[in-house]
Amino acid sequence: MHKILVIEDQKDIRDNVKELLEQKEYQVEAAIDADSGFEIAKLFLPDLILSDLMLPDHSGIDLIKRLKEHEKLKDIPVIIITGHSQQEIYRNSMTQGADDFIVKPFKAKELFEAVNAQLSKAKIRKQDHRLIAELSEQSPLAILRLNENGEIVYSNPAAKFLENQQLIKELKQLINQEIGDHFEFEFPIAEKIFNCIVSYNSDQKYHNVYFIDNTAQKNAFSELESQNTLIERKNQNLSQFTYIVAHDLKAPVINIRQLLDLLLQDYHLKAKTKEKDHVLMGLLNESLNKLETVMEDVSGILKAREESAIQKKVIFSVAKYVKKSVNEFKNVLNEIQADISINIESSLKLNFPLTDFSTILYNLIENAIKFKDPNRSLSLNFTASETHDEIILKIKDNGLGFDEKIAKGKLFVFYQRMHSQIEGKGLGLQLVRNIMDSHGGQVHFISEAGAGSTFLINFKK
Amino acid sequence: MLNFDILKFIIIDDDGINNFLVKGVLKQLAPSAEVISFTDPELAVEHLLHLETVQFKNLSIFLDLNMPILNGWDVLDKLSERFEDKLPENACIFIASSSNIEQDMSRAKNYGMVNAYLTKPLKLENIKEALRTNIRKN
Repeated sequence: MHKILVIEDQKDIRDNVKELLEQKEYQVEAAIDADSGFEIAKLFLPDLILSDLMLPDHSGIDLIKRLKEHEKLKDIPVIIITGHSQQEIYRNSMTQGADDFIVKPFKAKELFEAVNAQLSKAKIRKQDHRLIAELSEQSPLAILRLNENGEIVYSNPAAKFLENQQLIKELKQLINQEIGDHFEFEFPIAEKIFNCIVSYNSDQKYHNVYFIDNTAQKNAFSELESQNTLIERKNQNLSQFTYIVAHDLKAPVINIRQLLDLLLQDYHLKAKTKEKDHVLMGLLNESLNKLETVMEDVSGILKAREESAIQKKVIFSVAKYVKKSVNEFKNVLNEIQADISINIESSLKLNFPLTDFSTILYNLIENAIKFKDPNRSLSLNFTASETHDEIILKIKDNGLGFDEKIAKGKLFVFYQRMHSQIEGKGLGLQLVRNIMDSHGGQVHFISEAGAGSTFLINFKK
Repeated sequence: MLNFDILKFIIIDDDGINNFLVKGVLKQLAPSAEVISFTDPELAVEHLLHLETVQFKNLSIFLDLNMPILNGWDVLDKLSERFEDKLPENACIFIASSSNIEQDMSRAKNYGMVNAYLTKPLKLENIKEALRTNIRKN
């Protein structure tokens, strides 16, 4: 049963209205002025208020203002009752918060129509409020409403974790940087990344902020990106193989063909050019040697790649296996009186395929020996450091070094030698790079021509 | 008819055997032509940068791509720094590479100073053809 409060100073009208409404089974209370009407409203909590415009103490408009400021009364619809002569005022009253008006004298039908209309509107409004409250209470999205001062005026249960002054301060700062009434930005909170969608209500000057947890997507995206880089690098390696076939295998074959053609020419002409033929055969032999070396290297790389793919990771002491690798070169190192220092904590452990680790060390030590500065004895220094996700092995020599600008992009490429006077195919570094790529690690170098090189091998933990 | 004997040749290739063979072919073409070969591209660039303008007259260069330290592209870049997109006296550069990869061929076309892309082995007929078309053009 709906409750209606009637506020009217004229007794006959007041009684008449009360009676009519009670006939329709509404529960009715009545008051004679604005002050008593307000007091009754607080206790009675009516569903609708019918109020005269000109009450003895205050106007109906003033009463509406007071109701709007009261938390429990602010949503109660108000119908203003007014006389003919006050038309201008009641027209005005519509814009000042009254929901409807009826003009005295009015018929019972008019009264009922106005009352019914307001009650059903209020019912819908109440349902809407309930729906919105339910949606926001149950929403998995965190929702906040911030006022002009950056204070929370509303938060739903999912926004519980945001009740932190520092966070809200940062949020307000981000909001202040934006222009317009609707915008989005990223907001990292602890380990998570949220996408904040903000809409601004310029009338009431508040911001609604919706938090969408984007962490999983972000992580998936960066995972995808790092996979892509890996694939790109693998593709590069593959295209280098293509290059080997196009160039490094082809070049000696072409030479052999031409040399043989010359020899055959001489043979057919039966020319007495023994000396020349001797030179040609020497060159033929040289070309064939080169071809064999390239073939051997290529199959070596292919074999290492295959083995690397099936190798199992083991946990081992870095210092111990660095020493072991150095030991393999014991004779050479003694002979050239190299100064080797290994400053690695014996407790430092690495989880990595052992053969691959040995191959990397073997190739880097071999290079250090090959490219030593002939004017000074080789000094080779091994150190290692550990970060939260990597173990970095550092190998520093005092050898010939190379110009970093020239070497960038070439050093790890097949068959790019940095020193023309030293026989070598640049194969070792390519192999090191290949191995590290296949395990998601990295190889870097720092070098200066004439001042030695430092290689940094980053192993993923 | 083009007189090949007045031509001068420079071969830049780290493969000494190749240079020996190319020299042999050039001897057949022009027995008294001057032929210099470099297995160290750095020395070759050094040589070219110190030539007098007049020494570029009738000069043709055979340039390999895959070489240590300075590869063929590096050599072209270094020459471009000095001579922009044309060598003095309309001297010619012929790329001589065993690579027949499209990528290399189209990259070579981007250099104004490259006259033609020849794939190894360099045969007498191919060299003759390249010299005829390019030297007549000049």
